[in-house]
Amino acid sequence: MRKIAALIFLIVAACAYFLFMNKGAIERARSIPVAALTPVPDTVSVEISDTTWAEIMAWEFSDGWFPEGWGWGKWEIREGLLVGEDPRGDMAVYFLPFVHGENVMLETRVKLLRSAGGTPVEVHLLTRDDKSIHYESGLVLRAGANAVDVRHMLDYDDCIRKSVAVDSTTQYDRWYLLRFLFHGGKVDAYVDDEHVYASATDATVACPQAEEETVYTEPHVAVYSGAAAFEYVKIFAVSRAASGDSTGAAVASAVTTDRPIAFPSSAPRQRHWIVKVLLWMLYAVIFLVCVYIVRHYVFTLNRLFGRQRQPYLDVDAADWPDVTVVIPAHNEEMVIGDVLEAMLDVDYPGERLTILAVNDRSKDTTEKIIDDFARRCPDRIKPFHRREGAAGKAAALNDATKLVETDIMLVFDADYVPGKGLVKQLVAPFFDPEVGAVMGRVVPYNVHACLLTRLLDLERAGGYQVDQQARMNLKAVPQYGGTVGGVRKKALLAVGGWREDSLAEDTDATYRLLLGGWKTVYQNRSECYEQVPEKWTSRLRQIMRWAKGHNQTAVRYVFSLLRNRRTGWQEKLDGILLLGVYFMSPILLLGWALGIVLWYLGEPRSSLIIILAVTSYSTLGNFAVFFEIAAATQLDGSRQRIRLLPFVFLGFLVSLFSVARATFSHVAINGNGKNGKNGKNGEVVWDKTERNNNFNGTNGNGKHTNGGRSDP
Amino acid sequence: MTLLMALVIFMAFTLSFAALPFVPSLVEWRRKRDDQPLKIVRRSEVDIRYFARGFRAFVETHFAGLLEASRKTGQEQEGVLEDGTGYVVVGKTEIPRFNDAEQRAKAARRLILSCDRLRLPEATMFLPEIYAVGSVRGGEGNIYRAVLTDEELLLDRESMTLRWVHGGRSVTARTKCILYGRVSADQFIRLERGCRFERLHAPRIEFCFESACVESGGTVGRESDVLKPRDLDRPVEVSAGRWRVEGRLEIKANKIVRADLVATGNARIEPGARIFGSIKSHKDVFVSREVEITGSVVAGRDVHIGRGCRVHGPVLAERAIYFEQGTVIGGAERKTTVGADYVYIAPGSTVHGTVWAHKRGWVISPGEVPENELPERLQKTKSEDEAIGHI
Repeated sequence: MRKIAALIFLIVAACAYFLFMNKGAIERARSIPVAALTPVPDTVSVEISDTTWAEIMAWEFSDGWFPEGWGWGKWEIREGLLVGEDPRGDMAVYFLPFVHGENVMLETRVKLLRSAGGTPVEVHLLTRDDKSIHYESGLVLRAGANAVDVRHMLDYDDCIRKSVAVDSTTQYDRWYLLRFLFHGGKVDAYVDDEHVYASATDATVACPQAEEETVYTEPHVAVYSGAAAFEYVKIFAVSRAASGDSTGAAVASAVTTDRPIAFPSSAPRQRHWIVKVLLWMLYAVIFLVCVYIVRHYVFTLNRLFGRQRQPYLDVDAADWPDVTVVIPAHNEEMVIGDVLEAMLDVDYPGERLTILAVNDRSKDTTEKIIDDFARRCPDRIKPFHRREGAAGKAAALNDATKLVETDIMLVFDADYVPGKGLVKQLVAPFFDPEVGAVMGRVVPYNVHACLLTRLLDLERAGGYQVDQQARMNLKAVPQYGGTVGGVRKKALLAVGGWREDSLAEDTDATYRLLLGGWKTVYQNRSECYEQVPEKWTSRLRQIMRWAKGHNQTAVRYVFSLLRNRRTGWQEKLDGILLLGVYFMSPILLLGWALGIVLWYLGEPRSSLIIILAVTSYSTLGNFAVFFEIAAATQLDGSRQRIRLLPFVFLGFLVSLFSVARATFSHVAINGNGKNGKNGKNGEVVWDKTERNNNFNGTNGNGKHTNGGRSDP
Repeated sequence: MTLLMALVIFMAFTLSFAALPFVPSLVEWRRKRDDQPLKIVRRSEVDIRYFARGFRAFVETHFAGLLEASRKTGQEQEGVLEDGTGYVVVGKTEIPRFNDAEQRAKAARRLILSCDRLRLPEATMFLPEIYAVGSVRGGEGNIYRAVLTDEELLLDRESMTLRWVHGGRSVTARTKCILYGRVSADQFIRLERGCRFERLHAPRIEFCFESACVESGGTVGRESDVLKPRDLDRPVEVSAGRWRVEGRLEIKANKIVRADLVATGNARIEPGARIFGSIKSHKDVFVSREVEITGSVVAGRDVHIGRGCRVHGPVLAERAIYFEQGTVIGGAERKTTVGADYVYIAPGSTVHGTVWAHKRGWVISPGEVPENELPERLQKTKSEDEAIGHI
């Protein structure tokens, strides 16, 4: 029940989050205080008594974005301006998404560019009421007459026009500020802050005094017979709801003379440099997110429809080389016997296979078990009891490597049980003299244990069946995972051996081999069972350890990889993206934070798109990962487990925050992140994932693998 | 309806909609209908004799007594297994007797087993499996589903196998046979010119002309100079016993190299050279005549092995492999693997071990391959390949 309650809580939290985001969009628009706007010139006489809030909708085109309106004719953003063009006299019209009561002001800054078709260009800033849309109110700037016409619709059918002369010598390439104001059934018009029309004094027909509720609709800008550029369009409104009544009469009565209505500034807004920096950071985040989305899709589509490369699978007959299987074990009494027994049963020439069982300072009966096997098969099993030296798997492997007498060494963690053909399959790629490391596929064995193991089963399937094999297909960078794999000893030593200060010696080795001109090969058919964590706490520790190790490798080798001349562009690109995988979680969190901050800093248009993009990562980005997992289950031929796919969302959230935490803490503790210390006192320790049973189902603990990782 | 009620309904609807995908998840989580670990292949799945072994176990289980009785009495026996499969155990006649329906259709619909030798008529389709303790000699133009013999198997001209055949001693396919699936033998396989194949495995696989096989020895080895990295016309990076060349690699005639070779471009080995190591090219490997390579040959595209060459290790290409006459791959004591999508082997060549052609295998001299039988991509890039003397 607790699990279900936690699940419901998460779902509700997610819904609340999205509701909050939508609510924020509305509240934000309503939160602009009137006092914060530029004071109106003295000539404006419209005043209201109790404006608790005002709403402004403004579209500046400097960010290259159209409002969500619709229109016809040719409209485009040129150099930060919305340019409308009507080359044939059909009129280009752009409607703005707005419906409001009668207290509203339209404003634009417009420049006439040129005429077309022999007729002088016109620009319209108009709106209509919702009953008789054939009549319009607003301003028409006419180049031919060197005038601005004021249209005032009355009684839903009469339209009063007044023409105001403008400077004929500057009508083109001159900016005009046009404002048109409705308030309580009255109309005022301004051209360049000059009050050119007031219905109270100029109208020849009595105004309707807003006896009925008037709703204005379809505010629009239009260009006729030529081209014009709009710097911005603003709709400034006073809400009827301010009076607590929805009738037009109530709004009209709210308009008194003791407080002036505020006009917004007509000047383009200047962004603070901090806002600009934040915006560029957010653009960068969006770019990275999109890159990884594409990456996931490329891998999945390649795996589903591309040519599958398994060039070494054919090798079933060969003069098999001498090989040493290294099995590092630290307190592995529950499982070491299983793996040794399985190794003795593999299909490989016995005289060419040596099993090096490494007991790394175990405090349980691991040493005794290994010795028993060594006595039983002295020709095949070599025990190595490591009682001193640096801690950590890499250090144990380094010491063990000194004892390896063959050029090929395979590494199996103690809780992995190989099948009979696995050793041959993993050795086969080493006939290629360019191969430095080989990686097989690990398959979770304890899937049935709990929801976590089932989610990890899906995640592993996506990571190996799709990710790793796609990298193999694309000749990119398949990753050596530290177990169910092997390395060419000469190659490894040529690039420096196992790096003891690394928290992910497998990833570290992959990249050093790559930089040294050696390839890592992934063998999808070389499968081996593993035990995955059954507790969320274990999973958290595991993924945080992976994140630290991976990021450490990224910091160390990303620039070397960029400069490296032995690697092709596919390897460079994929290698860098693979290195950056664990950085994406904190980057994604940063993106969310930036989007919200910019939203409240008043970046309405830009932030709207950016927040949509960032939040859509949660759906689209995750969807790409979901797609990858779904493809993997399809390729594996499993059917029902795909139904658990929505729960992968939980795994994603856990990975997101734990990886981000690991990255921040690693950077905070180690500065540049190159230091590989993970112990409390700054030393490298065996940070093992807790395990609950062995392959026979008995209880136990201790596991030391970090292989089998996949993208978070 | 009050605003509160509308809000509650809206929230309920929204939550229900959001929770909808989780319904099948919850059902699967609680019912655990698919919570077992994925099945993995715990033994080598490329064991070519897998089906033959399975069929032998089937024969021993169901027919051991019948075969023994047939051996003693020499009588033919017919019957039907519990699953409805008909069978005929051939006696001393060595020729299976078909019923009327089978004769009319020229198609055997029953398992055919023999405790001795077996002779099969021509132009007949054998839909079930065939087993013989002694040798099996098939007629021309037959079609076989699967054949298992403890001795020799002879497939006469233009025969076809659909799934697998295994000879306890040998398998011989006369000219223009088409061998789909797996062909294996415990001693040797002999394919005559014009045969097509997919997977072959035997200690010795001979590719012959129509009449008889040419005993090829892979005549290689001359007195040559040992090559140093500086002798190459391109910069060489030497590391861990490996020479790595950016771009095209060319080893001059009669030179000796004691290293593994890796080239990011094409690799060309001139006549008489000896490589004590392996060769890898990201593109094509072209090996001229009478070259010996002690290791493997691996190519990102094609491998062309010239006349009289000898390669001791695996030969793997991601597109096509061409063997000229007299090529010897592997050795009697050193079996190996040849694998590519397309494998064209000239008569007079020998492979010890496995040959695996994923899309098309053909016993034909590389120069005689019609253009429409070449790999699709190769047809488009033939001029490029010709430029490096490839075809």
